[in-house]
Amino acid sequence: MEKWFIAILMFGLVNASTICSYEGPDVSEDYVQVSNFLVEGPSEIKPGDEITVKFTVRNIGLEDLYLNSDGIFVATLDPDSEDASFGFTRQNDILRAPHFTYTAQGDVIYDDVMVESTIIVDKEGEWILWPSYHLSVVGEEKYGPSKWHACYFTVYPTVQDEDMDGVPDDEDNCPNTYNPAQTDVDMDGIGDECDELDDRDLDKDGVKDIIDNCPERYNPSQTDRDNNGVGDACEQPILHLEQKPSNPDKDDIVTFNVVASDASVKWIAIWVNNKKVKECNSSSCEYTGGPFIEGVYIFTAQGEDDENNTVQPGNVYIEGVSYDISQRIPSETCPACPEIEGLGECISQTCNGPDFSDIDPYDYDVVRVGCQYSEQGSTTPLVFFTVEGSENNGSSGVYGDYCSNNALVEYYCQGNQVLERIYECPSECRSGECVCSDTDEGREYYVKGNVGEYEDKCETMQGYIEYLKEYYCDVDGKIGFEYVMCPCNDGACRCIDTDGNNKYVKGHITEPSGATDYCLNDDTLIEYNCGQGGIEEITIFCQYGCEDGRCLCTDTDDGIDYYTAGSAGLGISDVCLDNSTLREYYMSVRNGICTPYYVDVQCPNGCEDGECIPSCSDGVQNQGEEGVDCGGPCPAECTECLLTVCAAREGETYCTSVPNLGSGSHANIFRVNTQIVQDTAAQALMEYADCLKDDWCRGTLPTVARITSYTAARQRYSLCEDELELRGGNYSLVSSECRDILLAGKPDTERYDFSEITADILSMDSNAIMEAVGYYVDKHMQYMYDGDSGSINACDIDEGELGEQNAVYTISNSGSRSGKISNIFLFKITSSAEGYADTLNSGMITYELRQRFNATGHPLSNNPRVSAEDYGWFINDDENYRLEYIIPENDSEEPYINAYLVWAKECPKDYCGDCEDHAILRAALMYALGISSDCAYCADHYDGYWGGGHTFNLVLYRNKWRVMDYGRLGKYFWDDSWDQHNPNNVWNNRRGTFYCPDWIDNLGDGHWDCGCDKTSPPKNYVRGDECPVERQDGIPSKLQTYRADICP
Amino acid sequence: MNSMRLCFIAIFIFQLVYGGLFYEGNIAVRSINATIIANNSNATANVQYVIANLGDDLEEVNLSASDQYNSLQQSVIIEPGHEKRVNVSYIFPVLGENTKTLSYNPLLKINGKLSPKRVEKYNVMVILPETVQSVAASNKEPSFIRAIGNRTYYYWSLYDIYPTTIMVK
Repeated sequence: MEKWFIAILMFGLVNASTICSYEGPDVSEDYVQVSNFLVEGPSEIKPGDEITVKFTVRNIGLEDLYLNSDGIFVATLDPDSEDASFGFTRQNDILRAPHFTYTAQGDVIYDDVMVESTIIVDKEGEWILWPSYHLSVVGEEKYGPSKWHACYFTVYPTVQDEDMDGVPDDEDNCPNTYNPAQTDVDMDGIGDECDELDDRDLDKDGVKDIIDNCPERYNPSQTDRDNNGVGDACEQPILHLEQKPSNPDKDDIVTFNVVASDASVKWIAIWVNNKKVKECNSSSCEYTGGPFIEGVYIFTAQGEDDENNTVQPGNVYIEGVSYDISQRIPSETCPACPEIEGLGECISQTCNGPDFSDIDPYDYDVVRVGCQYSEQGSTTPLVFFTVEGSENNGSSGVYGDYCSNNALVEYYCQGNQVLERIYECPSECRSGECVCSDTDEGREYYVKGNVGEYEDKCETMQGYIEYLKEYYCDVDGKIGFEYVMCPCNDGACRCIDTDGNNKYVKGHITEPSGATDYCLNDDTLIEYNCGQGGIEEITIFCQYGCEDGRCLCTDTDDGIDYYTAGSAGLGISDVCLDNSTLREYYMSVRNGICTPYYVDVQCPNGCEDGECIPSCSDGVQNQGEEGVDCGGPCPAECTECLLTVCAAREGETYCTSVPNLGSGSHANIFRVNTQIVQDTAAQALMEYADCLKDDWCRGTLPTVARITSYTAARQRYSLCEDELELRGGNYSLVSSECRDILLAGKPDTERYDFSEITADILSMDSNAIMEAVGYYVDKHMQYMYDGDSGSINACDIDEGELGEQNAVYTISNSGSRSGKISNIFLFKITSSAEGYADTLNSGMITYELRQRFNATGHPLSNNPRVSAEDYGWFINDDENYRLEYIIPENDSEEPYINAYLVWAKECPKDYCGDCEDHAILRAALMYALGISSDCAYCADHYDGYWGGGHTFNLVLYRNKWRVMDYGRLGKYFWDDSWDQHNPNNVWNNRRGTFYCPDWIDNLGDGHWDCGCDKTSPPKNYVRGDECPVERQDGIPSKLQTYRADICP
Repeated sequence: MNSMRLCFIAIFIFQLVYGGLFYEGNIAVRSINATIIANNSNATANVQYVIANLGDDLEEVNLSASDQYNSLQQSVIIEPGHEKRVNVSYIFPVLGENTKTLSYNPLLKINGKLSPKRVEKYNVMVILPETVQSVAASNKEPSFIRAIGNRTYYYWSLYDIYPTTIMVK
């Protein structure tokens, strides 16, 4: 509080009449401290004025100081540099050093000297004064520092100014009248304020000039509404001009706003490029225009007040995106109107054509000059004069836009003047107008082009999302661009034709085109492919018809259909070679040519009239069957496996058995009620639906559900037929997958639109669900031995080791497992083939292996080569190979070795597990999708003879019990080594009743077969019955049956 | 009588286990754009779903974007014929010791059920850790592989497809 008070007090002093001040403190070399130096006086000091000086001096040294005769004083030099010091204090005294008292606070006592003195300045000019002292030091005199914090001030001369108007009396034209302006309109040396003889009235408005608020403008009313002393008649209103946006782009709408500063303004007009665009009878006006082309625009406004005073226009330039003042070049003036016989004198000239705001660089236009003539007291109509054939000749009065290199010279009117501007065309100038020219001819996303200097280019969004910036010419001939999301490369979207320009496959061009092959009519295909110039559209005649976006290549029974007699054209028809052998003709594409081929097959029930006699295992609902291969003449009962249908058929006996999914071992193993199992099951349906929709993927499926019809197989047939033909029709030489596809026969003949297959449709068909689960598990799960592999246990469960995996574990964790994996093909070793020798571990080539090669006459070289088919999976310190020695049937071919990796450090797929883990996952997914446990379960076979066993699934698929194992559903239906799974085996619908005594090489052909005679399919027998065949080791064969009730 | 009783049980169990796997309303998922930023122990998913009301009535649905680790829920009201964007972010673990496994599940459930419709666009970007230049395996072939600075990313751009799990390791 105290400090505030002092501050306020000091502030008041300083503001009063402070000339100089120095608060300090500062200390001299004599340990003399000065502070609060203050010089006060009049703001304008004149001779005779009194100046007051204050300061404080303190000795802060350790010794007392002896003041001499001048003591402490104000050292002063007058304008003549003569000493005028004053305020002498403590002369011949001692300035004490500080000393301490012994009070409780221990305060320090200083010997302060406060000086306050005045001087009357008597000379004009600059004065200097400062605090000083006069000491005696060791017998000598010493003064304080010269001009120590000196204060400089000027004393001004005294001037006589009686009227106090700042003008000295001897110069004042009215010395007794306050008139700082010193006006003297009559120039008589007497100021107007005191010139009683001045009575002039220059503007003759009756008001003497000395009192006229507009002395030079006639305004007898002398109105002055804003009372600023200036009459309204001569006061210039101000127009405020504002433009929004301030820096417009070419396509912007621009608003021009004009507001007068004075309400006296009654009229405002707005011009843009000298064209009046708006008039307003008010003190404000607004015009909105645009969009404008590039260029320079002059925005002006003019107003008038109620005194008819003109408001001077001001200019505002709109700077567009391509602002270039050089683009606007005024031309020469219009040509004079020619003399025309019969007409009088030219009385006016008119420019007819676009004004600046109307000109369009993309349109050729003409400016014409017209003249009016006087004709005997009247005027002629406007006469536009031209000179034929010289439209661009300015002297003719006709001005047509023209090109100068790539620049366009455009004419336009400004009033009656013809002006021109030069405009650089962004693309090309031709025939007096800018022309848009796109080298890739429009929005051709797959070709890099350019429009003038603007080149198609690839850009990215957020650093990673690619898109194309495509320039093109719009319908008005102007440049446009758009952004197109696509995989982009070098200014163009990448063009991919999904069918590789194959007319027998329906394909499409990848985004953004998406152009899809289609049939124009029954025999004409429109095929899209990627050419050098972008997408090409080709019209193709289809010899065998066109359907669903592709040319057909099929016979009358739609491919391989053993149960329908068909014709391949050219007199070639399916024919029975004998009473059991059918020669089935079919059409296949080879090297782009559709050609007939045939296959000879053995019909299980005999051959008649070019087709196999229907059976209960042909996969077709025929011969009066109630369903596919069930009911009617077939022994199997038609069973619906979906629980939904079971519910709909209330009371039927097969509904009585339901999966025990909520408790016990089933619940623990399958965990059907968990979210992750159900979500995974849904994904299986989704992925299978996507596969069915995709031509290629669908073609790889061994089987398809009833709804997926024969169309599903056409693609896979054509592919596998090619392979079969390549192998000379020998089924044993084609890939196992193709063999399955070909031998599985043609699926159902009903057609289906695969593009409409959705997951929820599949969810209503038990066969489709089983297929989906088989497809999904095969795709996402890799065989990997777990800890119990090889153990002797009825159900391949060994709880002492890793044991079986429940479905949740398999889905969520097994993908991170490491373990032993079989049959991952690594590479092929040959004796002399070209390859990559350095990738081969020579330690793999054992002596025994070399001996085997030598025995065939194809010895291995010292540096055996491997093929380039290196699979590359996790080859590391844990690698462990299995070598498969192959001797081709043709002696001329050299033997080779297939190398397989049987140990993987990590699971290479989403899930890993052994056979029972696969079976558990499949069963869990099927149950989650509503398959009754009456139709699908996990089966286990223990083979004591071989010391092993196997777990898989048994499913009631298409009304037959089938094995569901590795691979897609159907893989094992025809496999010789799993002969017991032959679809001819029609089992009853009681689970757990399939019997097979053992795995033995029944026919001595190197294949492990079921112990039962290959020609005598495994029998159906009642649960609990013992196998009629005893095992070789005498153990009761009951343990050797597939038993659902004892396996997970 | 006995069979009647058992069939009732069958219906009950079916509904419990299977009933209504798929959503049957008018809300559909139009597109999914997911950016997965992985490090050595976990991954951050930033996902934008575009959902649409294909029906004629105002719809209010509960959405849950879930994988086995997270379940995020929110209620959304959509006017007929309109679209809404739903942004979901969560962190999920990257499994494995020697080999890391990243498994991204994009499924969005509507009122607890899955949409039976395919999505028009399914874009997934997996940005690998700085120390990883490439993946050893993926369960879907990526559309392309690029780099952002010193980080490699895999990009799947799929159309008219069911959005199912993408796994890389």
